[in-house]
Amino acid sequence: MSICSEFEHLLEKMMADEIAPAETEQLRDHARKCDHCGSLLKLQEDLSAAGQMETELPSEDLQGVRYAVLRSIHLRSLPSTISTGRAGRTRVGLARLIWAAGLAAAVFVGGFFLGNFWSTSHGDPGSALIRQVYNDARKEKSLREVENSPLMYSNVSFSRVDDQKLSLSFDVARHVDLTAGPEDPLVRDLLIQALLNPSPLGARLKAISFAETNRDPEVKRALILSMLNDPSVAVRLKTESNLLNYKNDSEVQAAFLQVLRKEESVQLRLVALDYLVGNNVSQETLRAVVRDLRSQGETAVLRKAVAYLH
Amino acid sequence: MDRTDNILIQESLSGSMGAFDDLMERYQGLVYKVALSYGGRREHALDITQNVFLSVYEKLDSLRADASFKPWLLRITYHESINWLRKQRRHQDHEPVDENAPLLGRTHTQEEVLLWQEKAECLTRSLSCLNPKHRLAVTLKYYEGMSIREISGVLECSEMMVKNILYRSLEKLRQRLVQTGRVFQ
Repeated sequence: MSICSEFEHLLEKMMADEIAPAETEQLRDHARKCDHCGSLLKLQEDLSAAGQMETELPSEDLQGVRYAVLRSIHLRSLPSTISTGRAGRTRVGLARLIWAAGLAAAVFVGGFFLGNFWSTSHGDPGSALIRQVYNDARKEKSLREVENSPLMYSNVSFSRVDDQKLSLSFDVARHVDLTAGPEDPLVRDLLIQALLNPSPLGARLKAISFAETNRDPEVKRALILSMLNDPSVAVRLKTESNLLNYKNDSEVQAAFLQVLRKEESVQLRLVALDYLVGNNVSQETLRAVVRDLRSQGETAVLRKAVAYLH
Repeated sequence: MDRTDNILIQESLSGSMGAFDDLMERYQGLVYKVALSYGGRREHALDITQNVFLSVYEKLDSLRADASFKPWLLRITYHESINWLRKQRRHQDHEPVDENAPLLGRTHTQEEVLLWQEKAECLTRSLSCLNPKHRLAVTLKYYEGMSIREISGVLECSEMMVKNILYRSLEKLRQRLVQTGRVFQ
């Protein structure tokens, strides 16, 4: 075995943290004499040092990623005939219309998708949506008519598939006004979407108010997701206040435990603690909460939790 | 209340979104950092991270009860990163990695290492010359501090093979740095 081959063997042992001190000396000795092996050893040491530099994680962005994932999973599980939010936006390959129809979806913007068209359509709502989009686009229209079209496109992006085809990606919405009873499934869907899809702060707060009269379990889960993930503390406080009405509910209890562990707002954590104590949380769980709070250097919430323990 | 991966997985499979959120929170940094080594930019790494966790949720019930979550997660991260790279190439809008550009997301606060930081960022950028599998091995070894055994579990190959991959990666990186005139003394 040549000296450089021996060096390779020793360097592999070094990378695996299996090298003996005498072997390290042997390796360094050769590295000093051989430029090629010396630069490899230097590179190995530089990489080890580079890897130890801290990578600053974009915490808020990652929280947003988690929120988007949870929202997407939640929307997929909804039993409505048309689902998916931004994560499953309509993507139309011009030459793949039929295939795309199976994937197509709509995003609601303050209203209900395509109104009467949907209610009278017996086919796949995705196909119906795409037909509607194409029919509308094929009409002779002035600039003003396109601008004021009842179909509103947003979040539009284009990319080239090849010389003949473009891939189009967009959200489509149509505003409608109608009335429905408080127990109507449409009300449930709209409440959930208002809570979980990007919508103005006021719309989210109003949805939480209306959710107080709706005891659908999916609405409750949407409220839980909102309490745990909404970027606005005002929304989180309001959803928490709403969820206080769910007495001895295991899902809500688990959510309040998460609030105690993760929530930044002391006020939200104090309310969560009060709820848990008032809803028969076990002493064992409470002790675990105290341990967690103590390890986090918590003060106000910890004092209250300790007081509850005694 | 520090629940194990297995408990969180079981609870996630039972429908607990909170448990799945905990699982994501636990591994988001790892997934993001590996994704960053492929995506090169913060926004790309975030896209890949999101795809990884959606894929994890879809496939969670296929994870064997006796299998370890972390290597499985890293394999999904690897495959999602490869898919992302392929899509970028297909749409021909992939911005090639600029080895001179500052690496977004990496910062260090100690003044005495600022000069070293530049060198370290250059090294990290140079990883783009490695093939995806070798890049994963180097990232896990040097940036995540994983052992050869752990990496062999992720790559599903022998420890001997991992050592060989690392050595060959080192050689390739050295050649790359020589070609670009960035051999460090």
